Amino acid sequence: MVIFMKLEIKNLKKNYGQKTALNGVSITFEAGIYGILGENGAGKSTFLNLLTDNVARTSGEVLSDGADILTLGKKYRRKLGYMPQQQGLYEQFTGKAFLFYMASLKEISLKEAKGQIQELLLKVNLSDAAGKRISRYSGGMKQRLLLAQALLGKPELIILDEPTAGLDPKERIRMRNLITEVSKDKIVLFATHIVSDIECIADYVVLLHRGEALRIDTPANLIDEVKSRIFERQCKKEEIDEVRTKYPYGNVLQKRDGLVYRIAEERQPEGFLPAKEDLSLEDVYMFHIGRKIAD
Amino acid sequence: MDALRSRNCFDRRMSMECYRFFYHKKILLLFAALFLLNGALFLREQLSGSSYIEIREETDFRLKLSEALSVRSDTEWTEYLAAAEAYADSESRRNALMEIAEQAEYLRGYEDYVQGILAGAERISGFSVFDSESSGFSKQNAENTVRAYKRVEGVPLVPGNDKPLVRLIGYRYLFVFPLVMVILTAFVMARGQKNGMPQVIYSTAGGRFKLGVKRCICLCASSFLLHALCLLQLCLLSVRLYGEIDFGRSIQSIEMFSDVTYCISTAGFVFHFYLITSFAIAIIGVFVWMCISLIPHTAMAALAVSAFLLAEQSFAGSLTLQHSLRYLKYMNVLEYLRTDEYLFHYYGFGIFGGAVGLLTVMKAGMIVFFLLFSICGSAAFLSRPSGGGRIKAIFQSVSHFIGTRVKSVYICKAADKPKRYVGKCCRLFPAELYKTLVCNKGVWVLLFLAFAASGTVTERTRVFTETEQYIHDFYEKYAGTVTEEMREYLLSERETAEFLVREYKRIYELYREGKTEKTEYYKAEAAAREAGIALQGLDFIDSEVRRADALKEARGIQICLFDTAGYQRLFTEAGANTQRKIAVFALLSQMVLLSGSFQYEETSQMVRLLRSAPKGRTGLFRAKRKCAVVLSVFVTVLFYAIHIYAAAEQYGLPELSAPVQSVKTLQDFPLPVSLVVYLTGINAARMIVYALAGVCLFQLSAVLEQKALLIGATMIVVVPVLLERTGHAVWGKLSLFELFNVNGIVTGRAEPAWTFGKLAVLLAVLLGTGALSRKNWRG
Repeated sequence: MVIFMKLEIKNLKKNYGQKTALNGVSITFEAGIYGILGENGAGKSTFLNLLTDNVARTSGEVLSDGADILTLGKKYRRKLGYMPQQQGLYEQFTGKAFLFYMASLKEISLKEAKGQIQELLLKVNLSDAAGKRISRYSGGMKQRLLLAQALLGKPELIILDEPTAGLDPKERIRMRNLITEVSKDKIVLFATHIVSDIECIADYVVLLHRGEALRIDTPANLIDEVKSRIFERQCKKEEIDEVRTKYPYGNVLQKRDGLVYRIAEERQPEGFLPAKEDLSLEDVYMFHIGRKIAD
Repeated sequence: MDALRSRNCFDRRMSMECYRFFYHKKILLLFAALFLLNGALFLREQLSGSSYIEIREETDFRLKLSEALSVRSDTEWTEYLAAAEAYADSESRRNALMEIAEQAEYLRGYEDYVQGILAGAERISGFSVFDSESSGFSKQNAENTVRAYKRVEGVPLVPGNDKPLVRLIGYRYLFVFPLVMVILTAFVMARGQKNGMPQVIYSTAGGRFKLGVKRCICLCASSFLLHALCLLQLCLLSVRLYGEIDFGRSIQSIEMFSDVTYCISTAGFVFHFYLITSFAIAIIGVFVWMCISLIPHTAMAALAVSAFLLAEQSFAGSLTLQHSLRYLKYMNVLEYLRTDEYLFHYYGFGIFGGAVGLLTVMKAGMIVFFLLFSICGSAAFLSRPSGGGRIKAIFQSVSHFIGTRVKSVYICKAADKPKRYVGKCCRLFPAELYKTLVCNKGVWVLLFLAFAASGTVTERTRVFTETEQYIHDFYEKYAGTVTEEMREYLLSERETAEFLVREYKRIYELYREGKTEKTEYYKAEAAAREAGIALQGLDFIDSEVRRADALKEARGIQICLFDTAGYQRLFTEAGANTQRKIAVFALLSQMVLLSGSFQYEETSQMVRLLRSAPKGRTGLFRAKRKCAVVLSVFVTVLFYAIHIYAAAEQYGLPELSAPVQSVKTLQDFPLPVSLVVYLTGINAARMIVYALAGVCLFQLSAVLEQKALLIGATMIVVVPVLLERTGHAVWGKLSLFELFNVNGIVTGRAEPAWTFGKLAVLLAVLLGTGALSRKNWRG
């Protein structure tokens, strides 16, 4: 019987001086893809940095199979694959050289590294560009290379910080497909503010807002929860500004009949009708986070 | 209103271009460093043969003489100069007198010189053979020459202080630094070809041809400004050394400019010289800018520029005025900087069968080149930044073809083998070396500093006094242990020398009494003089023989006699200046290589990724530290090899297997080792000290920013050395140089207490920073 890794976060806090970046987050992660959704400054990167021990926590625990990751140290990091938000790469290295370098940092033997790197380059479609310098890679290629290095060593926990940032639609689809492909029997955490990425691949969604985890559930459940609280109204172009002044967090949608202004409220406002079609995580986001930001 | 708005926009854009360039702190710092280097090299060139005091003494005397001559008529000069000989009681004064005498002779003979040229030219133009068509050049040239020199017929000449201007114009690197700065300016202007900026600029109203013209103007203005600043700096230094320049005299008063064929004051000529050379520098700058604008790949552009300039250099160097391909020599961007030919002299240039003054040809060529480069460079802005556009497309396809062809035929084949070793080379330690030397451009820093070090430690050709030459010749014949043969030779030489001295005394008495010829006396005097030199030499050699005998008796060490000058430069106070320079360069290399070790990870934004890996903390730290040690050792080997090589080349390092006590200053060294063992031991000890320092620097780089570390380390190492020159010996004791030099410790010159104290401080810093840096990196 194969035992999969379990990552428990207990009351995790992080303060930067007077500012609270993370305020007592408690979550348990098991095998699956978890999308961490939140606005800019919600604490997504801080959360991930705490999990990779790049930032010291103020209080709380992060347990990997029952043991604190600070105690485990190297043992924990052997199970970890991390893809940072910034495209931090050695521009003078070739793609292949960079992967070999990361393999040596991950204590992978040369023989094993050769096999894994070949396989990963094929998977991320960088085999042809492996011998070129990273300075000549496009943004999408750099992201794929970063993903490849995160997958080196067959980690059990894969942490991806904004993996599709700056990519065009085609690249984003490719990246999402890759993540789905490698996520079997692993814990994949990926932080993003692009809702559609989570909709497509996440098994669970963690909604973060101002350092707090508002909701942790499957996308379907989250949508069900808010479907009775999403309202919309048909507007002409000239009317949008007027409606927006009253409901600034709303969403303008282009439908067959014309423009529609969609909002999220506890009760149905005057002039608005319940939205029945095309409900998505964006509406969940708008309900839980968008309104709060507007307030 | 539109015109006014347009003009205001143009002015604003001009100032923004200047702001864009001059706001760049690194460039400004680099320029400041180049200015300082320019001044330092100029001073070094001037002070290579004499000290500052000697030069000033010569200057003061020369100024007095030239002032005195200027108030006298030329018929009185000879008498005055003869009388001045009595005051020329030092070498520098004698040099000054000689220069003034030469100047006086030149000034007196100038009019005759001009008349001679006029007469010759008139004679040539009168020959009937030159009336034919085929000889159009010779006749025209003769006529032009007459016209040219008639302009300066009877020009009033005044004696004065020529030296500051002559030394300034004759400075070897007069145009090098302004040229380098202008080329850098061109590259900085072209900065931003990546990152989408060209597309943004191209889409604006003023982002095409006008922008190109504006940048061209900025570049030209920079050339004139930078050249003016460099010239002014050198002028001030020259004036400080050689006295003030009299700008009011006619330029022909200075012999160097005797062939300038237009009436102009020194001030006017210097201004003309400045304008022409600034324009020449601007042309090269605009050419570089044009290449960068047209060729998208910076490395390819640099290659094109280098290839063109090399070709120009070869044409300028190999062709002559009479050569059929002379146009390649004179329509040449580098030749415009060789002003001595076309600006200081009059030459005729054959063109379409006729003759034109070379200066006119050069000026026309400069204008043509400038217009060509500036128009092409500005027109590059007309074409679309990415793809499209005729001009850029042509260059892009050519550079792409060359690049891919060269790459596919040569580079790919050559690169195939190393690719197999990529895996091994990318393990932690080799990757650290790669990051430091290649990614951080450390190898270029090392090469530059090694080149600079080899330049500064190379001393001027060794000059022997007569006694030293005698001793040197003896060592050439008899280097080695003291043998009976050597002793016999020394005895016989001494006997011969003493005999010659006695003989001279005898012949002198006879000559006084009139009993012998003058020639006999002179012969005896010359022989006695030689004998005197030999006796001085023999005294020295005998003292060495006695030292050898004493050491053998006291300690059983058989030393060798040979020329130890090379070893003295390496080990003793005699070479302290050079030793210090080498230590400075070695330390500087270490600082530059190692101070950015951790900062590189920050700037690459790799820190988080590295720390998340199992070996990204302690493992990586250890690899970096190993790299620091290896690089420190390499730096030591490199710079001290340069030092040893310079000493070997200049002075020789003979008898390496001789006991170290053979060098007089090391005769008290306790261990009976050979010179090669001693040399190895000293350098091994140095390696250890440098390695410790290297690790300290590396560890500090985890705690401090690179700039702060560089400044702090420089202050700690350099400031005590500078303060020591104020005369306070305590600063010398605080200085870390002795620690790196090691010689003082071994020879006992450095006090043990201070040495151990400094070592203890170094070790304390090493241990203290070790813990702190590890903690900092691990997070």
